[in-house]
Parts: sequence; C-alpha cells; structure tokens
Amino acid sequence: MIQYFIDGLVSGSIIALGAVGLSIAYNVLRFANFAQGEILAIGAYISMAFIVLMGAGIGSIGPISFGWPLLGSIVFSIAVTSVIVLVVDSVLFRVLRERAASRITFIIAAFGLSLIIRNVITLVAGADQMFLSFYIPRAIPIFGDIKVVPDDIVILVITAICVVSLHSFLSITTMGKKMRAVAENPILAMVNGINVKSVIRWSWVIGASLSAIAGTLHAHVTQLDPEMGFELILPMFAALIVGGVTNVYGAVLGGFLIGLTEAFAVAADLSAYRSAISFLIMIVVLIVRPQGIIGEKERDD
Amino acid sequence: MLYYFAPTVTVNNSDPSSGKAILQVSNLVAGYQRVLPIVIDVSLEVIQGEILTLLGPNGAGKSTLIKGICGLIEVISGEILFQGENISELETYEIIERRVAYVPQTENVFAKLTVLHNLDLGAILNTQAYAERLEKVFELFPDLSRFRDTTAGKLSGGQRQMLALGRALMADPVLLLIDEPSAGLSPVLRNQVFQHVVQIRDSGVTVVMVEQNARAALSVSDRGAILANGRLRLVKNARELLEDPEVAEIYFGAGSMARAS
Repeated sequence: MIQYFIDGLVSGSIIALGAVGLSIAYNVLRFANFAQGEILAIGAYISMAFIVLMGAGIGSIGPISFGWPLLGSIVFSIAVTSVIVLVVDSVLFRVLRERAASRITFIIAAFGLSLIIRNVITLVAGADQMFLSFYIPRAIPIFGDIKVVPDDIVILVITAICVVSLHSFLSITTMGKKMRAVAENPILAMVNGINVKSVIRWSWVIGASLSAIAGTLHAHVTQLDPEMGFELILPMFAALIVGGVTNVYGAVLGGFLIGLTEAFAVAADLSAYRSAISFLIMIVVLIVRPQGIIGEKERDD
Repeated sequence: MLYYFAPTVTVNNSDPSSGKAILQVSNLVAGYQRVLPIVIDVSLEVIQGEILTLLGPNGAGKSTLIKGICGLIEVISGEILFQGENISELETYEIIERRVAYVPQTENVFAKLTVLHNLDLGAILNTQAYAERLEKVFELFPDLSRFRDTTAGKLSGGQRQMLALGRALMADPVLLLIDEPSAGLSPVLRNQVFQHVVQIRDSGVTVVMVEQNARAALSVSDRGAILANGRLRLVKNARELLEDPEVAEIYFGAGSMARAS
C-alpha cells in the first residue's frame, strides 16, 4: 500500500510541477495554455538529447539510479526549454497580446502550437518511444517492513525544493511581488511602474523551468514519446481545477491529489479507469466548489 | 456649502512667480484604435504646483487624455513633454519611473492584498526613504494606518479611494494624474477626497484630475479645462469658470449644479 502511496506522490509531483506552469500562464498571461504538456515534452527531449550527446548514461549515486549526468541534463534542459518558450512567446503570443486578441484566440493558438511541437518532436526524434535509462525500480527497506524506491524519494525531494523555491520567489523577491501584482491587476501593476513585459518573460521562464524538471523526471520514471505532452495535459488541467486556478499552490495540491487518486485507482485494479477517476473528482469539485479547493472566486472580465 | 477657492498661483514648494510648465501636451491625438481617435488635437500646459481639472460631458476624452499621458493608450500623433522630455513614445513603466503617478477610476487597489501590501507595491520602483514616505501617507490618511492589515477589498468606497491615492503617493510623484476620484462617493466623502487632493497639491505635487462633479471639483482647483468630443474647448482659471454663466449652462447643467451643492 505504501508503494502505491509513494507512486501517487511521484506522479503527483510531475503533475504538480507541470500544473504550476499552467497556473502561472493562466494568472499572469491570462489564458489556458493547451501547449503546456508539450513544454514538458520539450523539457524531456532536451534532457534526452543532453544524455545522448554526453554519452555517459545517467550515472548513479549510491542506491539512486541516476546521478550527476541526469541532474546536469535537467539544468541544460531548463536553459534550453526557457529559450525555446521565450522565442515561441515572441513570435506567437506577444503578437496576439499586441493585437489584444481574445482569450479564445490564445487558447486556439496554444492548441495549434501543441500540434506543431508534437510533430516537430516526431520529425526530429521519431515516433518511437525512447528511454532515458533502463531503469528498474528496486525498493530498499528503510525501516521494518517498509520499503521504498530511492529514486522516488529523490524525486519528492526535488519537487519539495521546487515548491519551496517557488514560494520564496513569489513572496520574497521583487520580481515575485511584481508577478503577483500583474496576476491580480495588470493595469494597476503597470501604473505602479512595473514592466509587465519583463514580468511576462519571467513567468514563461519559471513555467518552462518547472516543466523541464517535471518532463525530465517523467521521462526517467516512464519513457519519452511524442504523445507524452498530450497524456499529461489532461491530469494537469484536472489538478489546476481541483486545487483552484487562481492560486498557484492550488496547482500543487491538485497535482498531488490527482496523482494519488490515479495511484489508488491502479491499486484497486481500476488502472484502465484512472483518468476517468481524476475527471470524476474534477467534476465533483466543479459542482461542489467551482473555485477549487483553495481557489478564490473569480470575477468575470 | 462653503467653497474653498484656491489661489490661482500657488505658493507651495515651487517658485511662486515662475508658473513653469511641468507638462506640455501639443497637438495630441490618442485613442484605442488609430482610425478612431478619442482625443483630437489637444494642446495643453500643466503648471507646476497647480490642480488642473479636466471637465466635460461623458465621452469627451478626459480619461483618455490622462491615460495617453501615462502611456496606457497609444499616442497616434503629437507630443507630450514632461519636464522638457518627450515621453509620448515611452512605455507606462518608463513614464512612472520619471515620477508620474496615475490613479485609475475603477479597480484602483489590489483588492486581494492588504492595505500595507498595496502601499508597498506603490513604492516598488523606489524604496528609498520608504519608512518616511509611509509615515507621510499615514499622516495624510490616518484610516490607512488603522486598517493597514485589512484586505483592500474589504475597505469602504471612501477608504479605497484614499488607499488608491496613498498608493500613488508612495512612489513620491512629481505629477499625479487622478481619474474621477469622487466617482461613487457621497458628497461628504467626495469633499473629503477633494480636500486630500488640495493637501497633496500643497505638499508640492502637481495634480491633473478628471471630474464629473464640475462645481465641487473646480472649487478646489486652480484651473479647469473643458473638453468636448475629444477636443479642448476652454482652459481657464477655476474661479472664472465657476462664475461663467454660459459655461455653467453648457457644461455643468442645472442637474450637476444641484448635485454639487
């Protein structure tokens, strides 16, 4: 049972980190970024490229099946994914912003972008599954009968570091405060002297960085394929809605809830229905508490 | 009610005799769309240390004019000189960096954040002498000090307007643009807000204010400018405008006179 719980937390971590990117895009850029799954995929494939180019595998540290090469690939992937996302913003979303396009236009554009990215990945890396490593999870006892897979613990620690860093960034740094101001009221942020364009760039970079981490971890525990973004986007949206779209921590909470639900669906031998169960939770939350568990009611605008 | 007639030439921190223009707008055309300008060929000077009130019927382009000055609306043609520098091509944040502050008419506070957090954001560009400025704002608006940890969304309309002004003052502006500070306020609160605007002017800040309550606003202003259909019609000493029967007839109307008194 404990293993299902940890599995749930691990897939929840990946969904949570991805959903934070979705939440930042929703609150700062003000649209539902349907290409968010593909940003995770880009992150994963960039890491894959790094591992292949270095030619040294993913290394290992003690009982952990990955080492410095994988951590190096995450750093590399953060940098490259951020640059790609900034380029995409400046050729696509910036143009839409300058023309004051409607939210629907943004969503359709993001959807189109996701198709483009998926096909570019297929073109460059092929349609077949790829593996970062031939990783076979091996549980080791920690105390008594309880066994855990060391990699899972590292993934949870990495996620915890990301969430704590994000919280510190948003609450302590000037850029974080500016970002929250833009999320709440862009015009008022502007007249406080905040450079909204630079806040938007930072938002993309933070979303892309967390996505690169999540994408790489996902690739490590499962595999890479061009459809991975499409498979991840639905649980990420479910997480965002369950946790609350207006609150970035809602995305984290929702991510873990969806991850755990899916893991327990597998435990209950309902693995075929695991997405359906996530969506069932999402529908229940939408009926009972439409703003999400820790979200606030939104004004229409 | 008692009208407070401000002197035409103010004495404050500025040189009383100079009457130096702090802002010069020349042949300004501005609007949301190039093909549909809202402000048309407006030329106007704002004198250092004055309160200049922009008046006119709905849709006259008053709000658009001050939004154009602070870069929120595209300047289609014309020039805006602030302290001698052309700011018409600058982004809003660059204009704010030059110590222009703007108070929007609606949604002018961060409703989810506390009063203190709102004031902090006002000073985000310029944290020098933060404590001193905060002290000054609290002195001007004691209510803000009392409710410093209250969420701004829970404040009353009047308190919210004070917070919006206080937030703008935290940036230590030279020029303050205010869009209809009295909108939605009772006559008592409105006069209170206007008295605060006078105090702000007396502390050395030049004020340009858009108002619908023409009579009440002019009674605290140094000068008034009347816009109609996007064009500037008249710029005059506030007292002269108040006493001009023709202006009263055309622009204030009997209705607004009744509301103002």
